[in-house]
Amino acid sequence: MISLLYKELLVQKRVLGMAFLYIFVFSFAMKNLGEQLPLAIITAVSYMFVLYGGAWDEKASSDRLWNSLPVPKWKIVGAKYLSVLVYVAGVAVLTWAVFAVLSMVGMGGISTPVRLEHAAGAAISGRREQHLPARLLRPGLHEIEDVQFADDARNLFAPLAFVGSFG
Amino acid sequence: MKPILELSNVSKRYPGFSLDKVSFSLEPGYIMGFIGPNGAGKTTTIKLIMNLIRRDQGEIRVFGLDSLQHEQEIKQRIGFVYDEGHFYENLTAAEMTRLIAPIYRHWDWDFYEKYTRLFDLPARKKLSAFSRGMKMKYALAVALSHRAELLIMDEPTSGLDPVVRSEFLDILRDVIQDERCSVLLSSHITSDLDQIADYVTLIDGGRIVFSKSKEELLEEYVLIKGERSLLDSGLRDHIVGLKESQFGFEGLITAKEEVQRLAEGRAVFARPNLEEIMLHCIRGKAQ
Repeated sequence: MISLLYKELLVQKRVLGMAFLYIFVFSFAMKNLGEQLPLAIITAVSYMFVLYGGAWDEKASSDRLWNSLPVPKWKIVGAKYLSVLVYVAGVAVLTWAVFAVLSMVGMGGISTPVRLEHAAGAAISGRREQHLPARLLRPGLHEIEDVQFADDARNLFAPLAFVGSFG
Repeated sequence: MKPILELSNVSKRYPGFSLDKVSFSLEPGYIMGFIGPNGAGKTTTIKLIMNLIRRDQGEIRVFGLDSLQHEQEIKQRIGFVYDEGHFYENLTAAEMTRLIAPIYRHWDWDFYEKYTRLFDLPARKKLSAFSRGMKMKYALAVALSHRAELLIMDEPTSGLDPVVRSEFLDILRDVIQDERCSVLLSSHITSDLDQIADYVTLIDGGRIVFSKSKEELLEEYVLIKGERSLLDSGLRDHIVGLKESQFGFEGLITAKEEVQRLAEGRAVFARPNLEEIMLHCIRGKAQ
């Protein structure tokens, strides 16, 4: 499982620089969002990570690799979902850092602190957007239960997060 | 001895193609060549063995265990090499290996180091910069580094130039002699298998044509050449596959004594290679 999560992060290492750039640009471009600025940035940049992760998997036809390795299906799927949380946490920290630097040098004039609700809101929407390559899910039995579990979790948490993100 | 790989009546239906009751088995310690034309069902069979697709019916046993029930256990002991790279191209070989190594219980870094040195693989180079031959050697190094008892290879030599191909096969042969593992190697390049295979299974149109040891095959089948008039003497019944031209015919036969009697010294007999056997068997079916 850790190996799978590590893989999600390792293929992303080149996106990291771009993430910095995006956060920086978004902090100015979407300034009039006010309170919701961190939520928007974290969601957008995490989303980018999610899409890149999926793209690399597709490009390498990694479904053949992971399904041939002795890894149970639920771990492959689980790591994908878990990676969203890691992206969001990472991007939240990055956003916080960028905001801190910007206010230190007196640029941007952003007064909104990055709060936990922002990250939580982004995490839920990120999970919703996690496009699992359909081919990763094809054979085996685990995945059916797993997708259902993800759906249930989403249905349960989405309203909470929606309220939370405005709180 | 119990077979290390056993397929019995395995079927898989697709629209337009179906794998029909495929059965064969592989004894431990041998190399089986799995040959057939493009689209014959080689890759589909291998995908079924690896559980990449679901079978409609039949049974697959690897190491004597059911391939669905003991999937994880079996995959721990299988090494695989597929025809195209399925690794992340933006990673280096070392990074890719670090992802795979922890998954295998018996991963051996010393083995891996040994093979990467032997195959001359750069650790710090991105996989996208690897040539096709290097990618194949890398996949082989990974497949061999966890003490696999069964190697499953899907056309590892296709797309390699003759020099790299024969180098790859030499490595494979040496390694297999050392490590004593069994191999299922699919290929449409039959000369590969002339060199290294102990058993040969021919598949065509989703059906197994034969699955025999190479000695048996070369003993059973004989190539015959002669004038066309010879064909009328009842010889045709014994012919598996036939190629006629203006001047004469070339055919593959099975019962040599019988045919020799019929030909009365008017034909030339020769030992066929796998390619000729494959061509005639498939052509014979088409007729």
